[in-house]
Amino acid sequence: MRAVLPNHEGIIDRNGVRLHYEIYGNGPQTILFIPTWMLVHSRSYKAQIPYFSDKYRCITWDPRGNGKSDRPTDPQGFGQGQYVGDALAILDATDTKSAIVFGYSQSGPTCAILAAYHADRVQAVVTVGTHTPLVPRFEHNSEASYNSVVKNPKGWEKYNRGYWKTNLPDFAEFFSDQIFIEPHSTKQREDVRHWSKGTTGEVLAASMAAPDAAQYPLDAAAYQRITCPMLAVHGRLDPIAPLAASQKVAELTGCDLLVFDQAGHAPHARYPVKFNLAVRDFLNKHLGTGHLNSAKGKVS
Amino acid sequence: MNKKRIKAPKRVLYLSSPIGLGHARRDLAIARELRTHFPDMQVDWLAQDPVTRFLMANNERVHPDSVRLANESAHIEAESGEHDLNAFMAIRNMDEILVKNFMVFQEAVEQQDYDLVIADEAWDVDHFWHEHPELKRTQVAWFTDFVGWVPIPENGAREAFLTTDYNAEMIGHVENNPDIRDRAIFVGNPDDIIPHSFGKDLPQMRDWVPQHYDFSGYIIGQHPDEFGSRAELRHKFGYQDGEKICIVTVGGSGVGSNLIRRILAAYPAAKSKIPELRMIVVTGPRLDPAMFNFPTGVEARAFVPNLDHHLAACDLALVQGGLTTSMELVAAGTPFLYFPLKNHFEQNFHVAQRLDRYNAGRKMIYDDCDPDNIAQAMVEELSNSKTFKPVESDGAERAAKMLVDLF
Repeated sequence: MRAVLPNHEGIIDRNGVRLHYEIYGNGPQTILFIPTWMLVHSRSYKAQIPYFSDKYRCITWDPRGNGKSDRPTDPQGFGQGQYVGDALAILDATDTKSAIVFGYSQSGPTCAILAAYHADRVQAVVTVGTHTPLVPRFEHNSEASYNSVVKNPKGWEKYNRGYWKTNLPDFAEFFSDQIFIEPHSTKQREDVRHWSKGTTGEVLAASMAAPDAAQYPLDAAAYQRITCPMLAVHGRLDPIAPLAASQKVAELTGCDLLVFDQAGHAPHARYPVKFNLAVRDFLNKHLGTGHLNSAKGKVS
Repeated sequence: MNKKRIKAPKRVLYLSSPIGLGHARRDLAIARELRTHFPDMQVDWLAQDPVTRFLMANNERVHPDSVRLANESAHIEAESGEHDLNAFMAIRNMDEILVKNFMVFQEAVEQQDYDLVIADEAWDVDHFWHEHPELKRTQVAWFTDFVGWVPIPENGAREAFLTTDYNAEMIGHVENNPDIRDRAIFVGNPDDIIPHSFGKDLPQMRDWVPQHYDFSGYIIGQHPDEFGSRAELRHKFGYQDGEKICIVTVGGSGVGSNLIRRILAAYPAAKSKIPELRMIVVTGPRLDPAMFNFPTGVEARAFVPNLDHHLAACDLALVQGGLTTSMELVAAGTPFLYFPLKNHFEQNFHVAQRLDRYNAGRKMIYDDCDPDNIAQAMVEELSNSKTFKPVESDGAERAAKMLVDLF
């Protein structure tokens, strides 16, 4: 059973793609939980929303390609340009002037674009396991990797759009093991595998062939324009998005950087209570009052 | 860590698992015993339904943040099937509820100085304070009546792998962080530990548990010795000498409706074999009697105050297999049939082990039960003269003494 249910659900239509969103809680400030890569959907924030919705109005939606949203297969339907547009449209549809934006992995850059190019809509940024175009991906999950053709792929060779179309469940099993490299993570891995059943290899392949968001160059200058409070959280052992990505973001923005020494790609899901407390304290420090501890530092 | 407040009244934050009502009954007994040591002690209960109803009826103070808790009892009911509850998987699937409830707990201990947290099967507190020892804010006493997840053999290798992994994580937490549990109390005796291992390459439960727990003996809400004689109770409740009083009760959760229906189907056969039979069905706080078609002659009650007194007065009880009700029957010396939920490792292994040790109760397999064999078992248990081993009455007192020096 879920820990909390939404108090409002709705659907928006962006150029023929319907997106399903949910609102939890009714606090004076809003946290916008932006979906990540559509291998999973909005339930990937299940350890955050039940807690934060006690004090904040929390909005999330299912990404194009999974959950209760539509599943476009044209690459033009994907990419940061679309994701930023989705976020702005959800803010408008929910009468939200500005919000704390929360991004995980692929939606980390979405948050940075929003903060750099639509600063009036963003009060603060929290990212976890973010990518950035300024730091190369690992070779094993690079553009070259997913464009390669490999027969009978093993290990990271499964990060390959041809294989996604032929054996998505096996890829999801492999990839969930990479997201959660920590011992005793069977439940988190199962959740990812379960949520991955809501998408297809065609959707994932299209998403990775999406055009660049030319209107939103995410260069050093863009990051340096970000002036709102920002917290970047990263697992030191992350094999999917290098820690260097969050370090680079912190260097350019001056934001708080919190490193979970023993964590992989999803500290918010694997170590949720420590993560939630750190985010709570960060938000209290910058946007409210109340009990707080320093969010800066390391977590073992 | 908070400084000890030497002269101020002691403050306790008490967490009592809402999965079944048994924890609340023993926890209230422990709290009352602790108050004999610290008469001005203040206890805040961070609790949820149905525990809150029980506490408020006993004039206890429920912490105001309790309203923020996500309901674990409703989750367990949602996970159940026809007399079927995979208790391990149900608790495993409760992960997001446990995260939410831990956050509520953590904020409660951050915002208020407590001298002691008592966590009776509060899985979230025990797990997350071990995972992040730096979050610990005060002394904590951990209570449980079983240690170790056990796979159901029919469920195959995957479940065995998972229970082993969960046990391994728990063992690692405890062994690597001996300062988290300031007291770990097993509600029972060493013989109550089942003779199993925690899983492949892990220790035997009977070796490991005594190294990491103290034993309070069984803790009963109120021992039947204090109720008065069986004859006095029967007179008080209007149970006639010629009647064979049979009470059917399925506990405080809403999981027992199928068992009630199956027992009602056996009533005609039982009545023909036992003409003096008088059957009383107690549906409990979460099942509406209107859900059932009661045969003529069967009495239905939604709720019975002092049910434990009735269990001590009746001739036979038919129950689900939860620990608390079973042990109330053992203590009273009342014969009973118990029907463990399918796939419920605690009822099928841990509780069954304990009842065998007390030479008490007759285990019934729900899937194998038809009206005739339920009726026949009722006849046999009514005429059975076996003697149960006595249940200690000082468990709460012993447990409270184990907590005194934590203040």
